[in-house]
Amino acid sequence: MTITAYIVDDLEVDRYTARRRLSKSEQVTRIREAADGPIFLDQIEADCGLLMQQQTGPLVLMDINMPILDGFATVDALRERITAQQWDVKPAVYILSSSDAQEDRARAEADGFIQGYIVKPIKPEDIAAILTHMTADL
Amino acid sequence: MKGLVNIRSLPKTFSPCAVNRKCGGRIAQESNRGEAVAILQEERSDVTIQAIDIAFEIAPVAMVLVRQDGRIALANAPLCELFGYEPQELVGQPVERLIAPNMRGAHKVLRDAFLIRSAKRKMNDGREVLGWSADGVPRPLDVSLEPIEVSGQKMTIATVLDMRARNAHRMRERRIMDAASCTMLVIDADGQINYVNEAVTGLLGFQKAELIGQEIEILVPERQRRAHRVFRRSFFTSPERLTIPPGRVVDVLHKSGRVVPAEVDLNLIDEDGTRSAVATIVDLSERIATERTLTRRTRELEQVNVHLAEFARSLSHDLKAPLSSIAGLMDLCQEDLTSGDLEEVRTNLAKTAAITQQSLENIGEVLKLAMPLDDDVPYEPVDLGALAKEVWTDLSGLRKDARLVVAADLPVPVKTERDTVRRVFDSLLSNALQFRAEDRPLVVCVTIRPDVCGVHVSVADNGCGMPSAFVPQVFKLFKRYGSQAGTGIGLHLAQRNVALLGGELTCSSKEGKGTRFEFSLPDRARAGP
Repeated sequence: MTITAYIVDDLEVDRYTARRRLSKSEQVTRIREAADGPIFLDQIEADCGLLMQQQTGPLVLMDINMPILDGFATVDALRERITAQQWDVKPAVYILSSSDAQEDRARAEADGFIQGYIVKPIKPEDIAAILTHMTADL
Repeated sequence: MKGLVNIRSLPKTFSPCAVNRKCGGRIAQESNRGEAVAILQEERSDVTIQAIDIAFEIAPVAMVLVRQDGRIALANAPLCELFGYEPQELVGQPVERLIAPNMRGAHKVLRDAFLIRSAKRKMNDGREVLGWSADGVPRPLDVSLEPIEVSGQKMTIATVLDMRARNAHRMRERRIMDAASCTMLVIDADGQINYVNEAVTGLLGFQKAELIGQEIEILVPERQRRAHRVFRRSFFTSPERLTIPPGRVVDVLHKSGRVVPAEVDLNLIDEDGTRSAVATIVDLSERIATERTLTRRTRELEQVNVHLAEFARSLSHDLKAPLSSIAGLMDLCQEDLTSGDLEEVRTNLAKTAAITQQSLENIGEVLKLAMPLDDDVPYEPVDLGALAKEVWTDLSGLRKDARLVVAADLPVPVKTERDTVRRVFDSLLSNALQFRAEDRPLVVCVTIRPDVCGVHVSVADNGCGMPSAFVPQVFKLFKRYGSQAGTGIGLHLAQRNVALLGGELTCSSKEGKGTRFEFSLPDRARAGP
């Protein structure tokens, strides 16, 4: 099983931490990083053909507070793009934020597209739980 | 009332003995009673003097019968009492004896005119006569005149009302009105101001004497005068249909021509059949100004609350974010130490140190932001071009790869807050230095030129610019763009400072080309302090 993971975060140091955590998993075979929402959207569009061949994923770790498009707006744009272009892709989107604010959690929960909410820093057990969840139906 | 006195006041049984007693011994015939009643009812014009004598004696008010030559034929007891004469003392005397000495000449002329063109003169027509008592004391009087033919001779019956009690009552009313803090006016049915109290001068600038006798529309703005006359007339005919709703703001004209917002209360009063309107005017200027201030303050407080909520949210996130990053790096360091990857540990410790240092700076900036902006900085003439150069020298340290060009087209310095403008330049020029393009030397152009309200300032650089999507967020608290970004506080503060100076800071940018900030400042030398 191969999973492509996207880390969307404007802070390089947080992308590094997430990358280190993901790279320890054998299931995650490809990691892509984006410093803001539009870069991520371009990447996933470019990868679309490849992603449709993969059995699982992709996994998206999405920061909230970013310039240009914040995490929630980026998720909205992703959903619109998948619907408009009829991609056969089911991304597992997880919010990865330093914010523990109730309103951010509530907004994530209310969004049917977002699978979970992780408060930074991301831990090995978070990665394990995400991957278990993603592969549970297989 | 039709007659001279109320017929109901006549005794029902009117015996010759009673008349004899009342008339001081004169015998009156029963037939004279019918005549007396007729006189009092104005049913007969040609009567005998005896009938009038009886009528006078039974009348409760002061009455006098005057011959054509101006001499008194009869004077009843109430009249003698009013003027302080003995019964019969006035008979044969000129009627002018009852008039104030300074008015006697004029009275004679008027009396002659009355003989030629006799017309009834009624009470309450506003004309007061000054009488004169036997002991030389003035008597304010209201007089009605009735021409009558007595045994073929033209005579005049004058009914006299002592106005002292009524005048004293009116004076008392006016003293009470003058003591009131609100302005009060008494207007007659023709719209003439009969009285206005002292408070009018404070409210509308007019002296009392300037208004009494004037049409009420002198206090109504020109464009509303015609309508006001119509409303005023309707009020006197059907006051119940014309009321001013409580709380309605009415424009009242000040002597200077400005309009005073006021609340006006109207009341109709009926005094002996004469209708007047009493208008009470309460100045609303202060209340309206207070309401406006309150509304403005409420809006400001709402804005402050929005800022505070945004500030608290951003603060909790942005002060916590670096600690989360450090915690992540520390976890990795521990794992790398265990596995012996010392090089990775070294790199991550260096990153941690850099984040810590940046956090310290951020906290310093946040504390600055939390301090209230100083809104009591004095205005002074400021040479904006020289100030920009001064700030640039402090910031750039005269580095070779960055240059400031100032184009100032101002004849005189601008009057504004020097320290506040300095902080704005500090933020904008720091931003330009931070977002340099790596492939070319930085050039920052500061252009200063006069505009409608004061001065227009532009700070343009040839740096790396930013995507158009980020421009609307550039002033938002803690919003940063790119890896070179600072705290996300500087430009937010600059915008607040420009707003404090009465201007608006705007930004335009082209990615890869550069960024331009612009703002206009009012010149306080023009706008006043």
